[in-house]
Amino acid sequence: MAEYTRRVPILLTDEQYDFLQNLSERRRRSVADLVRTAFEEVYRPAQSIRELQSLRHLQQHTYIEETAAEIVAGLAARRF
Amino acid sequence: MRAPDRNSVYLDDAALLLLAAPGEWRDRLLERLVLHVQQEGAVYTSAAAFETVQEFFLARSNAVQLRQYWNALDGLFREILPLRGEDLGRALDILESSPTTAPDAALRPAQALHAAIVLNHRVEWMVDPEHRYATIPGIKAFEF
Repeated sequence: MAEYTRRVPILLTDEQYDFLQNLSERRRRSVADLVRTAFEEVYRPAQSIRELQSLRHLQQHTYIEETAAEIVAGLAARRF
Repeated sequence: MRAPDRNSVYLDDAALLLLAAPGEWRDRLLERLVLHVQQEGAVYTSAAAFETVQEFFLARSNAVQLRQYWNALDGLFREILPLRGEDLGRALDILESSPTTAPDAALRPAQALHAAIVLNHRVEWMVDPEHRYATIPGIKAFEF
């Protein structure tokens, strides 16, 4: 089970608070759990999608003609 | 200093350059990074790494390719870590304590900076294309 160690105070409007309370009762889940789930569903996937899109793009393109061995040798020769 | 960041990997200047070049090493690293991100891992680099990459491209008059590469990298990193005063001091400590070896096997000063950034930000792994970081206590190589 995840360990929750950070407290994040947030301010909500009355309407937002009432909505969350109502949802909490209907789903029988705490308000904190609803907020945590929303965070995971809204923000984390988006971050991962951007990262994966970048990696997929990199897999299809190269930007330097030198080989890996030439690059490593060049960096070592610079000594900085 | 930030909290420990488990499941995180750092790309240094050499790793960023090798990601742009053709080769089996790059292909294997990209496959491994895809798996890492799919397992909710984070990827980091630093402004110090970008500087070397920029210098490399511009020395070959490859500004167009450099821009394309920057665009390709956009979105990959959870955060581009800053270079702070405490990193400079720790880099000097690392250089002073690194074993004296043949010149072509010694730690580059820039690599000491990367190692200091990784240690101070508690990034879990480093991609180590030049096999230089293994001698530094606290650094773990990203296996692939």
